[in-house]
Amino acid sequence: MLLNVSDLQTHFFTDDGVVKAADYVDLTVEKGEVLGLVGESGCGKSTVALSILRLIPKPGKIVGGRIEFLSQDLLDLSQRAMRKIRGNEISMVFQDPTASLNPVLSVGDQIGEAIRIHQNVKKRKEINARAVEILQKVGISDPRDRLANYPHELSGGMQQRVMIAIALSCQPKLLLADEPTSSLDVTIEAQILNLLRELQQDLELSMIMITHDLGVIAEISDRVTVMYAGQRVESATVTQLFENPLHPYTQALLEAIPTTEHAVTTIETIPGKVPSLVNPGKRCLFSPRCEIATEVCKSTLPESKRVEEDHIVACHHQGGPDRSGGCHEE
Amino acid sequence: MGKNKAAVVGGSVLVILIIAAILAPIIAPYSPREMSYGNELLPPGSEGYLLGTTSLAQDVLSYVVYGLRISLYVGFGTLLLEVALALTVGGLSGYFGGVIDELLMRFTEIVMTIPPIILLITGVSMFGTRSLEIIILFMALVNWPWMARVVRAEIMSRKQEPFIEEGRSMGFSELYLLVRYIFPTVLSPVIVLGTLDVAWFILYEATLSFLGLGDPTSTSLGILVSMGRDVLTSGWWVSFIPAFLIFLLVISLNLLGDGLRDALDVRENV
Repeated sequence: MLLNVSDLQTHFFTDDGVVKAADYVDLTVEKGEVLGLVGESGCGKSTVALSILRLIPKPGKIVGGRIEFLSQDLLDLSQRAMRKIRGNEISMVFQDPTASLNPVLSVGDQIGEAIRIHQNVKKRKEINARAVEILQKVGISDPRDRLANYPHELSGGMQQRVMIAIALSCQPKLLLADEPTSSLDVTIEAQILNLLRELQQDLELSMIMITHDLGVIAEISDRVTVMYAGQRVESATVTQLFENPLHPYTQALLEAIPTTEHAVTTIETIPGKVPSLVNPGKRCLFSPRCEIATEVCKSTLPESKRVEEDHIVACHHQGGPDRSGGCHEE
Repeated sequence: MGKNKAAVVGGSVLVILIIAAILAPIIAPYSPREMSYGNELLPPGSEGYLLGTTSLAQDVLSYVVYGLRISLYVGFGTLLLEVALALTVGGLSGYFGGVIDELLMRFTEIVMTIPPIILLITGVSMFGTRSLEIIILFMALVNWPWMARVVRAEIMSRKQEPFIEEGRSMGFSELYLLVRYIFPTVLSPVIVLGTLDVAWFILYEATLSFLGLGDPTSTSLGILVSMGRDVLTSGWWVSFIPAFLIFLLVISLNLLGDGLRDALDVRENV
């Protein structure tokens, strides 16, 4: 196992109270595997990714849990040791490449600096050769000519390719992709997803793909973890999740995907909104929006249960009274 | 548009003055303090003395081109030191925030409460031998707080940008991010403020020299203005010509600074 996050608790200590942005989150990533992390905005997906890199901004803090990477707990490491992990062993691709690239450094300099710092390569020629190689891998044509370009001279799709090139510059073992395609238009999105898939297979890379788009998940992931309001509600392989979603939230998400089978007059939505994460209380956090919620949902936090190999769900009803979850006759 | 033209004029005048200072040994017919007895107080246009002579029979043209060197040296020398201090204090303060910010900003405010000219005069007169470097040191010590506050404010707004976070996610140290990622983004306001400050430094140095607190061994424009004070009625050019050069330097720097402020889109009154 490459990464094993268990009981991760990341809280933000705001003036309004403690926001539990990640509350007892478990997830695992095997070597060479792509884990999809899904949920709507503000459910704590990015918080989990930033926690893995220990880059939670103030007033946030990781208050509990373990983040085991290659059998060592990242939470035990010093800042200095952690810096050697970031960009070198684990790196991240951000959502908005235009804002996430340094505007005053050329493409070559930005790819080169991680190589220079982490891999102790000092010769400019060698750094440039490595940068050209990586640019080629991410599908940029005339890579040698691109080294001197500045980010603003490139298109959005090209910028995201450069971001990926930077992230992969030191051959990391784990790539955290935080909605890497949501600021791109649809054709470019498909190209970038294909690229990530190819790179992931060629380099035997492990990846956490963070997205709110189940289409992206279906395209690229091996397994999926669904988050709601800072908690993991379901975790399964892609096939299991799409064929047999057990959590009402997952079911609602899947129903909300517009299909082309018949003319769409209304788009399915999930009524209500994500609850405030300040003092959410002891209950199923999805219960106010859940169609099958009963009394027990409003008073007790559901525990995560393993229903089959690789399929974990945290629901009192395991997806509905009509499904054979085997628990509930009150 | 009007401001842009003014900036171009200011910049051009400044470039001409800088070239004149660099070419001083070629332009100046005499060494700057050389006295040729019998040629005292010749008016401008005299044979061999284009801008006239002083009451000590020194060539004014030779004196002022070397004086330009002093002014520019002091102006830009102080700027370098001021920028170094401002980037250090403002940078650490704005980037790290918290206790560091509190301490450094309170210290900055204390320095700001001291009237600059008084600290400057006291500081400079503490030293028996007054060199240009001591003047530079004290002018920078007196003036960095204003620039430091601009740098701090700018950095506080810049440090939230996603590309800083991206750099952090690549494992770069905070100091590396500050120097390589953040400093370049605060260059615009520093350039604008710096250009205007250079004008002040040139004026300050001239003022100190005029008051007799400059470097007595230098050929400062301020010293020449002061020398001409005694002969203002009989030899107006001795004071007027260096004073006019100071005026040219200061106004061209101000025009350039204002133009850059517009061009680089730096908000006013930071």
